[in-house]
Amino acid sequence: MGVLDRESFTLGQPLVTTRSTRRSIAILAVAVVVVAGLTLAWLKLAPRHVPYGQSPLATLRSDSLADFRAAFNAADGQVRVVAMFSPT
Amino acid sequence: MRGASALDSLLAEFPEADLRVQVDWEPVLLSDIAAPLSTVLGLIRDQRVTQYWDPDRVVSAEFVRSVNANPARYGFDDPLPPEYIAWDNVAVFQRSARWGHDSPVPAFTSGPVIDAIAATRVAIATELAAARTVLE
Repeated sequence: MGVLDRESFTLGQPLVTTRSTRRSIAILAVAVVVVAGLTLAWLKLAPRHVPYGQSPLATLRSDSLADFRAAFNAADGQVRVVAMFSPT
Repeated sequence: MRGASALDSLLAEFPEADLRVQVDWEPVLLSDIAAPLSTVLGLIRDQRVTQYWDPDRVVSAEFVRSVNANPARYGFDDPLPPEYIAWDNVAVFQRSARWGHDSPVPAFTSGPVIDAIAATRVAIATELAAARTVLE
């Protein structure tokens, strides 16, 4: 049972907020931030694996578009398909 | 996501076909904060596929640049808006297609991919048949 704050009474209306409740909310908020941070870190850093038999996932940058183009041209003589997706 | 799975199923309909596929994953939605996870990459299992993570959307930008350099060549009446993002899209290219200064003109392109599977099937079959005709 927490101790009621002075601010817990407003215009004669008792509020349910107590010091312990505020502390619980603070702990919960910190926990949410920590979990969100860990989730974000995991999303950013988790290893990515493509299915068996495929080349490893390649990351394109503005200076590596030539790699994408070269891969396209390397399959000269074959029908080619290019598909573009959002990961979520 | 459904489009990626549908594309993989479509490729499975051509198990022996001589084709190559490039899949470009790019951030478009607010939730696209990182490269696709392995579970997402696993939606496309075909071994003829190479998958790319394109955080700066350089492939889309190159397509837009190419189209805007000559809209009529790509079947457009007007240039695309500079901020246009090509995504959830599939394009099929002839076996003779070559990517020079500008991206080649696709024999077929459409999207969203999930809605374009039937037409993509026809386009792939058509191009494979044309390739066989040339080789015979």
